[in-house]
Parts: sequence; structure tokens; C-alpha cells
Amino acid sequence: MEISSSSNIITIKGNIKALSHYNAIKGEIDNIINDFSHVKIQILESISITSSIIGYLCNIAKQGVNIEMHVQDEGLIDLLDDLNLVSLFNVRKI
Amino acid sequence: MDSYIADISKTLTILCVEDDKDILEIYKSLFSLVFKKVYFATNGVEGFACFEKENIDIVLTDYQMPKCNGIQMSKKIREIDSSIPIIMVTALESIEMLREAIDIHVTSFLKKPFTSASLFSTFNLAVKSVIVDRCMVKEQREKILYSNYQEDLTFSKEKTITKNDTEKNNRLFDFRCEVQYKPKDILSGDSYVIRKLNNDEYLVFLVDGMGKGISASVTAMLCSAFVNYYIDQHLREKRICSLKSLLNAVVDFVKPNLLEYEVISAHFLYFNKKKNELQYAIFSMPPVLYMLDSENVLKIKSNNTPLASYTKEFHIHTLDISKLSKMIIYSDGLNENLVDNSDIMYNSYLSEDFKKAKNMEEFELLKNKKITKQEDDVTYVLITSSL
Repeated sequence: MEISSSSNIITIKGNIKALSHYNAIKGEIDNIINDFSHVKIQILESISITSSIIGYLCNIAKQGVNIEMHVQDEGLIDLLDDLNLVSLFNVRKI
Repeated sequence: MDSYIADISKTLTILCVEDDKDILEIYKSLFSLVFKKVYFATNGVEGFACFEKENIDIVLTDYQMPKCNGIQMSKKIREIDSSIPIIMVTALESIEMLREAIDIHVTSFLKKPFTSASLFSTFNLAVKSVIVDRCMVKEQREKILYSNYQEDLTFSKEKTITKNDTEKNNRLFDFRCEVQYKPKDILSGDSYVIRKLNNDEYLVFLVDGMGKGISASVTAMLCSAFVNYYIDQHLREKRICSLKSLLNAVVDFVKPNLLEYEVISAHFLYFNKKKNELQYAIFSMPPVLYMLDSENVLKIKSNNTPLASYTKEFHIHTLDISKLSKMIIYSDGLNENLVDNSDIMYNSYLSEDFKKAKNMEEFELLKNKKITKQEDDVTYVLITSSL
């Protein structure tokens, strides 16, 4: 997995699976939300997302951070829909 | 030799390899009283044969011998045993010989001619090395035993907490109810409870703690234990146990026990035979798949976000199950497992396999054709009409 960020946008390439991915994504978003109340997460390629990341995103959404998730993979969008997270994370198809 | 070393030496065996019969006689007289057993060989070939056959703790070998010298024999011994102390006796001080000896980790050297004092001083070191080796092996063995004991106990605890009232006859009303509970590690992040509330009602509860490892497992077990406690209490007091009251109690109970970023995914399914309905509250779990009287596989999606320390409200919905023919309730370890040699999740095949399978055995056969490597804890409850 590769992660990069610019302003309040983070872009994730590759599959999100390992604990190290959670740490990397959390680190990037923590930095962004120090300065912004809106974070845009672009997920390219990944077909799933770990529960640790879901837990973290739910928490920051609860704290008032506006999350926008742009997802490329149809399967992942369906998965987020099945989990009732589309609305909370403002999921959109790329 | 101090008394501790002397006591340990009496439990050890030594192999002496020496072509000079006079020196062998000296070894015999010196070592017979010191070691448990002394083996003798007159060249490297005999020495290695003896090493292979007997249980040797220390090797003492001459360097220069006919047929096979001390270095050649030691090389063969090292292929079998990388740590046994080897003491090499030599009159030579050839750099090449020393280099070879160092390469094969010869423990000590004794230069001929040697005194009994230098001989025993060298043996002290060799015996100490055996003691350290034995202590390490013993410690490792104890660690493995303790770890196995803990794992067995933990799994028993998990099985005790995951109560299933349909286990004896696999029946949930007129349906067949089968459960697959397959933790990836001993500590499972999944747990489940299936309870008969009365003749008309059953609860199916399946929980998946966030992340992996001990924290997820503790949370999942806490939830299951609480659900069981809550139901047992209501059954004992003959009180009505509604889904709403159970959810309120679980949320109240679990909230203070969660970490800041921790969330729980869970299925709460209340089956009511009299009303022919299923009440459900699903917190970010994979969808429940079900079939009515047609060939279509339908799904019930989560109607709640994950349970967290800040959860204040939840939704309960109702489904008509008067025509229900089968249903599968599962954790994400099932649908998110990658199919062998691909980047495709089993989710793509799950619906079709569920549709084809008449029972758990058939479902497992279909699933195992696609998945041979389990990546996460897998739990599913399969409800079918074929008894």
C-alpha cells in the first residue's frame, strides 16, 4: 500500500489490509485534521478496508470531522454500503 | 572441578577418539570416575559411528588419526549436532588446521602434552556449555508447555462463553441450524450466542471485535458473556426479553469498556415464529443472506453503524420470514477471505455457494474449493429448511 497527501486530500494506492496500513493512514489523517475539519480520502485499487480504520474514521466523524471517501473499486463501495457506512463516510465512486 | 560441575558430569557421557592406546588407557582411568559413561574409538570413522549410535554429551578427539582425522569427524558431527562441545587434542599448531577447527566451532583445544589440571579445566568449560544448552532446552520446553496449556484453556473458555442452544439437535424451530466457529488463532475476535428465549423466540447474536488479537477477543467475549447473562437473568425471572431492552443493556454495558477508537460489529437477530418475523439490528456486519420461496438470494444490510463508546441510538427493523427457506449469518472472515491465487474476495462466490448448498457440509465443500488459506476468524450460522 502507498499513501500520499496534499492539503486535505490523502490518496491510497494498493490493498488496505495490514496493521501497518492502519498506522500509516491514521498518521496522515491525524496530520490533516490538525489543520482542516474536512478530509478527502481517495482509495484507489483497494477491495477492502480494515475494521481498525473503520473504527478510527467513525471516531473522527463523531468528533465533527467531515469525511469524504472517493472509492474506485465497485466491490469496496458495495462492502461499505453493506456495512451502513456510505452515509457516514460520504462515499462516492471515482 | 567444583562439586556442582562434578555432580552434573556424573549425568553426562563422553566420547574419546584417540589412536594412541596408551592415551586411551589414561582417559579411561581419568574419566570413568567422572562421567556417567565413557565411549572409546580409535579413529574418526569409528568415532562418528559411535556418535551416531550413542547419546553423547561431550566429544574429546585427537586431531591426527588414521582413516579420518579429528577435523573430518567433527565436520560430520556438526552436520547432526551444531552445539555439542568438541575438544580437540593436538600437537600441531598449523594455522590451516586451526582455521578449519574454528569454522566448525570446535569448543576448545588441548595442546599435547597436557597435564590433568589443564584437561579438567577444559572439561569444566565443556560441562558448563552442556549445562547452558540443557537449561535453554528445558526453558523452551516449559515455555511451549505453558503456551499450549494457555491456548487450550483459552479455547475452552471461548467455547464456554459461546453458548448455542441449538447445538444438541441443530434445530431452530423447524429449521436446521448449523454453526461454523473457526478462529484463526486461539484468541478469536469473533464470538456468537444462539439462545432459545421461549418456544416461539430465538436470539442469534454474532459479534466481531475490531482489529485482531487479544483486545478484539476480550471485547467479543465480554459482549457474548453479557448477552448470556442478560438472557439467563430474564429466563430465570420469567421476564420478557425484547430486542430493544437487550440492545440498551448491551450498549450500556459495553460502552465504558471500549477503547477510544474501538468499535464493535455485531448481528442481533430475533426470530419470532408466532409472528413469522425477524427483528434485527445489525451494526456494520456483512449482510445476512436469505432465500424465501424463490431462487433469488436476498440480503439484509446493516442498519446501524458500528457500536462504539459514543453510540446513543440504534435502529431495529423487521423482516417477514413466513416464507423463509434458508439464511446465512456470518462475520467478515468469510466473505473477505481472498480466493486462492487471486485478488478476488470470496464475497463474489458466497451468494452462489449459499444458494447451492443444502447444508453446512455442502457449503464447506463448495467454499473449500475456492479457499484453502484461512486469513481471519470465521464464524457463520447456516439456517436451512432441510432437516
